[in-house]
Amino acid sequence: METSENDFIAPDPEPAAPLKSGLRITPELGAYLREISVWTFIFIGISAFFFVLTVIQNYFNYTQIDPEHENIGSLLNSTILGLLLIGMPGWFAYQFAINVRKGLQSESPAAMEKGFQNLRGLYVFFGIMTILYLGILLLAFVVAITFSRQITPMG
Amino acid sequence: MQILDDEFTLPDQAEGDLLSGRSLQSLQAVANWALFLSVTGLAISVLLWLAFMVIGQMMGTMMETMIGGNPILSVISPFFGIISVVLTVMIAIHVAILALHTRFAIRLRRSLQLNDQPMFVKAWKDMRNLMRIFGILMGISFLFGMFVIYLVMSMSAIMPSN
Repeated sequence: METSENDFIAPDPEPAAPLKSGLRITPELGAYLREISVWTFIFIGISAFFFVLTVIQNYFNYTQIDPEHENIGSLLNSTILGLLLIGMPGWFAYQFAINVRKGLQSESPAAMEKGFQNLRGLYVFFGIMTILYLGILLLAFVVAITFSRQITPMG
Repeated sequence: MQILDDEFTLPDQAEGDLLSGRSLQSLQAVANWALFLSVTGLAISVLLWLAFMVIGQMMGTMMETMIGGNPILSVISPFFGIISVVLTVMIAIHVAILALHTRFAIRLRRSLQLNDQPMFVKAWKDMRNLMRIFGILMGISFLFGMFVIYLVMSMSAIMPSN
């Protein structure tokens, strides 16, 4: 009797989070992901090398211009900005590569989840940067048109 | 009966681990952002290409009027042609990379929507190819950079002796 009553009870609504899919990490896909993570490590290494080189070069240029280090704040600001712009995507890429590798080696879904979340973070970062860049371009375009219209009648 | 059941279940499990819901959500977001970045990049590349074409034509007409028997300008003018060819090749490579990235984004999106395993694998193959192209380009630019540094250093070594 109890079971027949339960048959009419509506099931609990499913939580919004899980997406149902039959997609799998096949050996072929695993090989591709492994190679992608290797390339990612190489790119991070090269980017870090060139970033350090640029910082050293900027420091030497700065010491030639300002030997008494009166305006060292500008150098620090540019270094921190560079570190944010290169370091943040680098960190996301590193986390993606290391977690995907770990996930493939230990067959751990949690590590794969973390890896793909970091890949999303990387893409979101680049997406926001692109939107900011386009916004600045649009603003510059609008300002240029406004100024040209103000200058033309006077000329 | 048990054997029959196993026949149908075992090969499927052997293919690999199922992707979790969170992974799929992350990949959905990756596909959307990748498509946005590719389309924006393609639009900017086309605009850049048009701008280079217009500037190139303007420079050509300017040079024709400026040369007028000037020997230095007549020697330099062929180099503008080489520069325009190099720029066109660079933009073409850029467009090819973006096209590959667009294909990755579209395939990933479709595979997640249609639950299509072969397309999902193809999408990651595209990403792998993209990484290889980036690697080759980075290697070429690294070698070119080293060559330029070597050239500058050798020039600076020769200059004082003269």
